[in-house]
Amino acid sequence: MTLALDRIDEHIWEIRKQGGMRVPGRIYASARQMADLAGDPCLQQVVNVAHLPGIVGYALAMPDIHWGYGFPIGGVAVTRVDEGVISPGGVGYDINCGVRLATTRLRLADVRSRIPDLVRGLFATIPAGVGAKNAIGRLSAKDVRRVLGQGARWAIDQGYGEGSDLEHTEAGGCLRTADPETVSDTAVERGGAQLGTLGSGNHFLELDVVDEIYLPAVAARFGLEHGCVAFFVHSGSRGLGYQVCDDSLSVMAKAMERYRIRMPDPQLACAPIRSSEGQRYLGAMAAAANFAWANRQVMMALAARTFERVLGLSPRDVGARLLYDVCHNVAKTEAHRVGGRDENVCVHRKGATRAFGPRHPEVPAAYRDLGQPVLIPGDMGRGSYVLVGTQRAMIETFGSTCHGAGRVLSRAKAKKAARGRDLVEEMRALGVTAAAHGKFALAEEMPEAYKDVSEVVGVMERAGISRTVAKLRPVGVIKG
Amino acid sequence: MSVVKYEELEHTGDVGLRIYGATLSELFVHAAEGMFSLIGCASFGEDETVTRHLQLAVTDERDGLYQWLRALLLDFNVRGFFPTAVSLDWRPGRIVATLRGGTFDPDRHEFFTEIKAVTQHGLELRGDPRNGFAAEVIFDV
Repeated sequence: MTLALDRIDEHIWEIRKQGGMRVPGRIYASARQMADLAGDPCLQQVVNVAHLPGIVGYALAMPDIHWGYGFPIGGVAVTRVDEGVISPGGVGYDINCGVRLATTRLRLADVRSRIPDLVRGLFATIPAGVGAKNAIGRLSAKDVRRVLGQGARWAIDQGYGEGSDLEHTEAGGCLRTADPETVSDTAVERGGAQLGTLGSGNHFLELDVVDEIYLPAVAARFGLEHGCVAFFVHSGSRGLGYQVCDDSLSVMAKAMERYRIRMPDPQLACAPIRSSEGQRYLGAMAAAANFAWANRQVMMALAARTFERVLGLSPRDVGARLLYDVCHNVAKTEAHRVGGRDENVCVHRKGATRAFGPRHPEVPAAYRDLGQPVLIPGDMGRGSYVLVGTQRAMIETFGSTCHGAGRVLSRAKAKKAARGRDLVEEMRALGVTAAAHGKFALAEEMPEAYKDVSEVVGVMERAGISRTVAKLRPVGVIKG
Repeated sequence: MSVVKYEELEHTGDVGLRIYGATLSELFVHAAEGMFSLIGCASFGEDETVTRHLQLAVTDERDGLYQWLRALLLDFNVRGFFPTAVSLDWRPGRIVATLRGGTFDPDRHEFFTEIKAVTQHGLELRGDPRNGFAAEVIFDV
């Protein structure tokens, strides 16, 4: 189906309110990106999201939008706390899938020849792929529930990282609304062996070099120095989070009947935020988000130790320091301006990044005058970006921006395109040492399977939603 | 028996399967084969093969397909059980299945993709004039 789109300005396209839509849809995209989206099911998903009871503003989509299940990937929906709903589909199965970026004191020029050794070391240290487990041994159910309550703090208390990392993590690495008792025993069992593991699909640990600086003063404050090595960790809440979402959907389906809510897609099942079903999901979702923060915290610490071991350097010489950690899949209560007044609302971000502007109290003190760091991983060949949030994002997108490049090829098409090619060698020719567990991991994730992240980031820059601080170029990657 | 058991659907973000079966029971067996063909490839010696019996109460065919795949995925994710032979009896309101397989070992077996969940997005099951029944399922990967 082709939907009629109104062009609001150079980068904003609107789907007019029609049928059961409660608000219009708005998509941030260039003319070329929008032409590529013609007829794509993700636009209908924007329409479907606009049906959510209590939604305010617009059903938003960022330029990395692509077809998901229920919500489009790259979608943002904000609902009123008192009259609105929470939809697990607006968060996704991988609750608090997110990314963190750590800078180091290492210069690529000094360690270039050791990158293959580092990749091998990381590949051996951080479990990835199907069935990945036991990065730090199996946790008891009691310990998993502690993680669910404490988030990244639990990992730091076990010696994985520094207390200062919490200040540089969205929400301090812990949602206080977590209710570990609402998480099923099955979910806890799945989480027991998976803390500190990467997973599969688009998850990765990537070594990068700071390649270009666009805002020198901001980059310096973020600790980004041209030529220095940094690393991204992209992962989420693993099987524990998938189970929390799966458990919630049958509850939500019943709640829909009880509260007489009708949605165009069963994957958008939802319940009033104030209902017992809504509160129970929010407590479990927050607990799973905390697990994800602990997961990335452990992996960052394991990666830093691997740097030390492989290079024979002290922690001080490696100097791994967390720049920031952001969620891509989460629903949080935030204060935003709605209808001319400040209001606490529920912000669903599904494949989107929080991008708070300067002076927001939730931006770490060290960056508060600048705005929140935003991390945008691209594909494993073309590079990634660090952005900074703006005041305009607070006004237009409920403090949200894009989260990545966005897929352009299905996995099936990517595998077909990769047939007969040596992708490890192709990546090496691009200056990237790649290692993957899964047979098709590199094929499914090859650069041409993704949109050009520069174009995605450029749209948000020109729309004034986030500013581009620096570009990082990959030199090594491990995948599941 | 239908010639094509299942085929991969085009889906940008996730992975989908179109599944065929001359009967509903056959379609459910093919759905299990298709899902595990996305996850990996494993074979087990006689001494490592185990047999599982599964019984599910379901509301209708569509719900049956969803619950069936969810149950198999959960068993794989929690216990590592990877079925290599499935027999199944569909009756309105319930599924009774016997599965033979073993414990998947990522160090020994070939794996392809981690499936996070079976979704209900676009989940369809309908009669197909040529093949008996056809279904579509999207998996979150």
